[in-house]
Amino acid sequence: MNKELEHSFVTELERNQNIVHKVCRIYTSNKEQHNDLFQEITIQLWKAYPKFRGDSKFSTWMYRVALNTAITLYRKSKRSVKTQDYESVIFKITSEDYDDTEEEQLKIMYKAIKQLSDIEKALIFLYLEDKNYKEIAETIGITEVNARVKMNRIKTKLKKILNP
Amino acid sequence: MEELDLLKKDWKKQEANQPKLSYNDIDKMTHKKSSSLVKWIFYVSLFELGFGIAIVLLALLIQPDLMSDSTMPVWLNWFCYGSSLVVFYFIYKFFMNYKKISTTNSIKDLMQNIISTRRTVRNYIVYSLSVIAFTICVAFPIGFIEGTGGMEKFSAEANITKYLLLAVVTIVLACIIVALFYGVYYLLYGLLTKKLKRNYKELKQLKS
Repeated sequence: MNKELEHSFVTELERNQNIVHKVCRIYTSNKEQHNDLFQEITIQLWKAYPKFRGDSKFSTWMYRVALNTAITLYRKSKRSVKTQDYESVIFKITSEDYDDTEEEQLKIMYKAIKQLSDIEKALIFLYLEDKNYKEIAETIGITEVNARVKMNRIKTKLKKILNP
Repeated sequence: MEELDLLKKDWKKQEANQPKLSYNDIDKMTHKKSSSLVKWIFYVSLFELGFGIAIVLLALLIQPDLMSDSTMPVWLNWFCYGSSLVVFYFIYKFFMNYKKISTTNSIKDLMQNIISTRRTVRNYIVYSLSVIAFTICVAFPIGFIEGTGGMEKFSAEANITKYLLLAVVTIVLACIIVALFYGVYYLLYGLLTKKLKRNYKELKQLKS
């Protein structure tokens, strides 16, 4: 693949890397796994890039490849061992509007999300990314109605985890 | 759900706390090798598809006149030629299915394409194991009878117990070899696709 294509890809990904980091955050539990998955997503994005026709936004296209990689293609590396509390290292609760109760609630919420299945994580991720049900359904490959039903079930499941 | 709204608000704020990789870091990653499930499935499938061919080639290398062996029935030769055609059909189908696998598909379509690629290989394994079992059931008694002095001598001396014993040993041998191959296959397939099958099952429950 030529240098020009590589340059445009790396520039686009550098600009939109947030999306990949957020996918890694949902699907991994430590920094090593996060880096490992980030790398695998980058490779898959790069492999698919020559077929990216630009009829959708680069970021929209990224969601599909990144989620497909995290859910289906990624195989956890054996060298990744849990060394520290991931959430507390990478994702700090922001200091503005600091609220003890809120912080505690958020911590529990993030932990609860980790307990969801891979497919449920994809739904909640797209929901948090402000995607509408049509986009969520298309990315996952289900109907809009089913996406709504599944989302409601996830909300109930989360409620149960939070208030056992 | 109040907590989810709180989470959504925080999710946006978190963008500032994400790690930031440089252009060079990302560029380096594009040159790394993938270790994805599809790559593993591709290599394992190639190994499985190649295994049957390797056995035939090895047999021909050890015994070059195997196909013209006068003790083997002629129809067995035609059976071997026919089997080779079926193997090529499986290889063709495998590559056609493999080409359909794309990370830009929806999550469900990607899973479906991977599963159908693997299904081709599974069918190939079932077919190969049947051929192996059949070959053992034909070749072992023939080999045994020829090794002990030929068909005439065997039928003159054999009684019902001897016939039964030969049949039982042949079937047991075929079962052991097939079980061994199936065990290795099941282990490889099971380990590779455990996560995929679990997620696909969940998606299938949601009708598309």
